[in-house]
Amino acid sequence: MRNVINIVKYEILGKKNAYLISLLTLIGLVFAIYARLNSTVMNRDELSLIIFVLLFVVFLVGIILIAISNLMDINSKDLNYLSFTLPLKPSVLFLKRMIIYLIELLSFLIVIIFLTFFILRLYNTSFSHAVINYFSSYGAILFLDFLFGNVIAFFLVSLMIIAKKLPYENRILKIIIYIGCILYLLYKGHLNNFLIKIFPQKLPIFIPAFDYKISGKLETGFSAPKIEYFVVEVILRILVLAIIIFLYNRLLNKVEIRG
Amino acid sequence: MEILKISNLYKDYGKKLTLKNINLSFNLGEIVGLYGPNGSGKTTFLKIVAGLLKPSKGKVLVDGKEVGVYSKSIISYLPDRNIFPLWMKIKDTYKFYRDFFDFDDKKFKNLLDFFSLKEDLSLKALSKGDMEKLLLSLSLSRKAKIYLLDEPLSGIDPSTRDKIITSILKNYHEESLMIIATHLINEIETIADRTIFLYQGEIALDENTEKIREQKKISINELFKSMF
Amino acid sequence: MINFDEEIPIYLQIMDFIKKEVVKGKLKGGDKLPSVRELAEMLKVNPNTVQKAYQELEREGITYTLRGIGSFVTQDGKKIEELKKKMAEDVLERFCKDMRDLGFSDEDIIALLQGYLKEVK
Repeated sequence: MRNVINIVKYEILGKKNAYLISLLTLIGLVFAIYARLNSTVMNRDELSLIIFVLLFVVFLVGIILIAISNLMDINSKDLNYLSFTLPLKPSVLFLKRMIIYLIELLSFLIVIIFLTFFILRLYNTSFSHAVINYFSSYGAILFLDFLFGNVIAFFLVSLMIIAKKLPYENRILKIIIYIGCILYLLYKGHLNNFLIKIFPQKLPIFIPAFDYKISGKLETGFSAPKIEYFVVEVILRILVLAIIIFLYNRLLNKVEIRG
Repeated sequence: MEILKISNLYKDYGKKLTLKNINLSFNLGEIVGLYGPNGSGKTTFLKIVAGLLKPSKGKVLVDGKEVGVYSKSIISYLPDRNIFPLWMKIKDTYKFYRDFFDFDDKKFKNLLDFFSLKEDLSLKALSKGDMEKLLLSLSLSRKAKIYLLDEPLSGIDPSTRDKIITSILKNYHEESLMIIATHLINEIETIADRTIFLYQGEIALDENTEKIREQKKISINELFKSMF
Repeated sequence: MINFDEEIPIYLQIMDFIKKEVVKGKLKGGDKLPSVRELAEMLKVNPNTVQKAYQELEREGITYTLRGIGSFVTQDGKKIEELKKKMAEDVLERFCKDMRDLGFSDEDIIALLQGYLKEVK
């Protein structure tokens, strides 16, 4: 396990400049948005809504960028000469990538959530209170749901990236992985719906809908649907994650670095 | 003492059969010249032993064990390109190696001095020759049982080549095996006591170097040219 | 140091070089030879090759080895004289063969040799 710490350490050391620049860019961007909007003459409640939506967009973009950068890193930093000449078990490479991805994701989350709450508090409108309350009550579950979904999607795509490096002898396995991953991504929803029809049991936890309307103006508002958790869905997700992790490690045992 | 055994090794890329029926046995204390034209399979062979490629057929046993974590810990592979991230400085590279391998700090510092390289240099600032010197210094400073050097001399000016050969000799010891793959036969033939010719993926010759000179009365370089 | 002819076994060339140094008097009886490793590095050859040269030299009686210390030139003056004679004979053999190949008689050879040596003095 000392190897895992070392290998994570060196990648983070190499990225530290990128992290710093990203952090400053993010803060700069957020306050640029804040400053720009603050100078407009608009209803404060509306302003807080717009700012929230914009920050939400920043949040989405950030997550996608982190995912893409890590996926590219699998190719350049995990599947390379150096990693494969080090005396490491392939599972160490899996752990390294998962740890770094989670660290980056969570750090980003913390920063953006902190900034969002900070700004919403500044506005002190009824909308910002509504949002803050909602997240205070259901934040934990939202977080877990979000994290789980992200991790599955990330590792699913990464399986395809790793499969690309399988040797000629495993060319059939390579095709199976590609097809399997794409099918799952496309038909995950259908599969879920099908299973829910057979086992409609739900978990006792759910996230209620969020519905906010700017007082007076019926067209302006923000709403998020109710999220319920079906037992089969949750089991399926856990199963899929386990399979993905298993395959990831198996593939790492078989890949080649052609270079 | 046999340290490396290759049995029935084949490497198939689908379009091309890169290695065919390779059977070799190596002992500690040998310096082996692995010669062949570009594309003959030298790099493929070394990469399979190092663990970067998988055999299509056959077995590679390093100290009696299949390629894996143990074999990687006792094999020092010098690849034909830079493998370190460019953000590193020279001192980062040796600290890195030290964290993962049995590493001889003193030997490394001596080699750096010998090659006139400073620890604080960034990898981005190194010329091809300097990079090769650094990679060689790192490879030789590892306390390994098998050293695989892939084209340690190509792209290097003659005076640096001389230095590299001297450093290889200085770091030779009876408890290690050294395999040097190159197409520059005349540079290596005096230091390699065993000569292997690899041609189109097959072993064309495997003999003690001096014996070849005695029997054929020809330099290894000339012999190679005459055969292919 | 030595320009090796890669068509002839290197160990033979190393032996030849050392024998010449002994005959020339540069290496005297009892002198220590460089260690296998040192000589290998100096000449840029495989240590096993130097080892073989040293072994053969010892077999021929030109050197002797003290375990753990190194190889030394023999102190047997007679041996060194024999070596001188043998090396001279080798050169003469080649010289005479080449001259005879060119068609010179023995008397011609002696006359030419004397004339040459007088001039070069």
